[in-house]
Amino acid sequence: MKRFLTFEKRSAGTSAGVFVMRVLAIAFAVLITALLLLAVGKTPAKTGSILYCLFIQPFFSDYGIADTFKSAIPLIILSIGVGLAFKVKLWNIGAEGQMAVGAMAAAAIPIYFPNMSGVPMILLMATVSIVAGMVWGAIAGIPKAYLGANETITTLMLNYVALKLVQALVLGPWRDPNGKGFPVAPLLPKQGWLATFGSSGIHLGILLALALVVIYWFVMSRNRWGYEIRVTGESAKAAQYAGINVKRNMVLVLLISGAICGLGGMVELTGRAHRLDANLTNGMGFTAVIIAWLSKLNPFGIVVMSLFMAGLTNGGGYAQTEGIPGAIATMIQGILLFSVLGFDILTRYKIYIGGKVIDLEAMGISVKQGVSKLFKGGKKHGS
Amino acid sequence: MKKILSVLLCVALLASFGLTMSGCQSDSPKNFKVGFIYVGPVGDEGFTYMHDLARQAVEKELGITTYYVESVPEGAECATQIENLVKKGCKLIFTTSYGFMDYTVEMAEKYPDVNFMHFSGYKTAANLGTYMGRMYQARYLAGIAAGKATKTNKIGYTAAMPIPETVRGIDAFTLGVRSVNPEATVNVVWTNTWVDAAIEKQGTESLLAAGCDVVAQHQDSAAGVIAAEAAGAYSTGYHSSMIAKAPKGYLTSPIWNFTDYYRTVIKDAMEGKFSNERVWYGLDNGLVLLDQFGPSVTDETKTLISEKEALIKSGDWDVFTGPIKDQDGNVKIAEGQKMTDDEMENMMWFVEGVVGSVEAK
Repeated sequence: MKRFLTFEKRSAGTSAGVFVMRVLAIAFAVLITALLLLAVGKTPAKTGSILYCLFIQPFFSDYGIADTFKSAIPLIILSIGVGLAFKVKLWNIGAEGQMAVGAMAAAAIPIYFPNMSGVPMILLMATVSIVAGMVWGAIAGIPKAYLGANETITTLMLNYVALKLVQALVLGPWRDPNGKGFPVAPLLPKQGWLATFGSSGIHLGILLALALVVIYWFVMSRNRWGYEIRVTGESAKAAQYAGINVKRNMVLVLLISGAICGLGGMVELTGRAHRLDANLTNGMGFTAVIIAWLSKLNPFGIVVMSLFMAGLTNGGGYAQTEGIPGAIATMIQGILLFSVLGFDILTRYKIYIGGKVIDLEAMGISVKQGVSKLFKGGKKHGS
Repeated sequence: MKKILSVLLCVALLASFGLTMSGCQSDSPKNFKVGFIYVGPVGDEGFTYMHDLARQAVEKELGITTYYVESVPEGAECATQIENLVKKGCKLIFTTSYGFMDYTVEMAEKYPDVNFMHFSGYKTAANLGTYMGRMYQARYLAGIAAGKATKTNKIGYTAAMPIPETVRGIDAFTLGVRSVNPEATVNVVWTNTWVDAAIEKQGTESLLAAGCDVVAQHQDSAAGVIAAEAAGAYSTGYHSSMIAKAPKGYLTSPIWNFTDYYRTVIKDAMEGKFSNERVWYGLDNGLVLLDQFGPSVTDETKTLISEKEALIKSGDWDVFTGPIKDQDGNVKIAEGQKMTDDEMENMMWFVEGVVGSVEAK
């Protein structure tokens, strides 16, 4: 008997297909959001304003785009960090904690060596943040490789350990002596701040983030070790037969993953926050997990998704000034994520409803062709 | 068929973006625009709620336009929301949590034409002032109610973080308690969180289990008050009236009323008289006050409280006037001596009668 609704797995989606699906997913979410806002009694003009704040302002207004970049920098770095681990099917969801210990280690430098000059101070801060992130990665990685300890649990729990550690330090020995007793470390000395591009506030961390993206791409597609860990990720047994040292690679990947996230903490500290407190990480480590996942671990996808998530978060705040509650703004972000995930299924499955095939990916591709034809046609017309 | 569908999808897509382009341009320059950055949701029934009640009242009264952004995390992200309020045309912006300080300073530097007021901080600029309430005065009065209510002479106190603001509050409360009941102790549990109903409830229950029959709090939710009511104990809340949560055991609460303050600052700013002073208003200005009393509070207690309230309001006496001893019995403030504001802002020691440590556990 034929079922009414069947899913048929298809060959892996093409990158054009994925791209079109993302665009369709966003358009769909915008549509749902618009209907929702109209349904709760917002006028069409108001609905337009809210949608503008959510989806346009963060990306196309001058200060909006600068802020989106600023927020995206740590997200890119952390997503590259966790993305590397995910490639090997190591579920490092400890970016939050690794970022926190990285920021913490970096913050120690100006506290104990306040008279260092700028460049050595920043280099030393970067180094210790990498080491701290590595240590945090190793605490999860070594038991995973040699004892089979579930790294999802260990990396998750280590987040809380790291955040409590930061809290204890800013409540205790690192508390700002001139801060009227509030639980924050002293402001970094100015020489420890990353330089910014003009008045935009976008700091040098962007170059580091993009360098990491390129390195990640190179390792994953052009490098022997990258190949090894990809094989390890596909099948640890096969990798072992091929003479790959699986355990060593597991530890190594979690070390490097932790190191990158630790460096992310230093970048956020020196580039934007300028002082250590328990709120520095602010859930970015978890957002990075979503980003890595939505971008399918593609390095350039990570950049796009990081910008998108950063803009969406800022846009949620902007939209509030048009009269929607904060919770609704968060809900709209949720609709978007669900929509993206939902459309994702369509790139991986053909769907039969009542015997009729719905192949949205193919349709997506034809939409894309249609659009490009439209543009070509337009050009001809104009010339 | 496929083609028609794809064309339709294209149209829907373009239409949705076209719709979005039309917004965000409603400008009415006649109105004076004021922005608020809140750390919590306006529906928290506590701290942010009190700010928002005042915002609504003043907006209605003065006919100005206000914007707010709620649940803004303390950290770098708040700068983008402050900047957005500036771009919306706000000429005065209130940032209502300590963690917004550095970013408010940054924005005040970047936008010298806009005035800023930061709650609870200490950094000022030509266009940036600070405001805070002498909540310790209201806590002292709440302490009198607690000291009169306890039978076991053990009073519990759940507090967020060991910082001067909370320590000062616990001390003032304890002085209030011991002014009417020198035998009573105030037992402190640190929760290490400003708001987390589950942890606040746990903390309160542990205090009740240890024999406390009155509980006080420096927390944002009503969880402690509700837990006390369930156990048949007395309680005092914080921020806003919590009497509805505990109709039997509620004594009173030290609470906020920002309306008068916001009205004054906004009016001044409208007339170009913005002042960047550091405001620390007490009971006399009405920024902090004591809530209505619960049914168990006796007339005798009410009289005691109103006498002390009048004394504090008169300015002749304040809570931290000597002699005051610390936990070890050493005289910290001599007879007739008064703590300065700076000393109070940095206060990190407990007075005699507090059981607990200023170190977080």
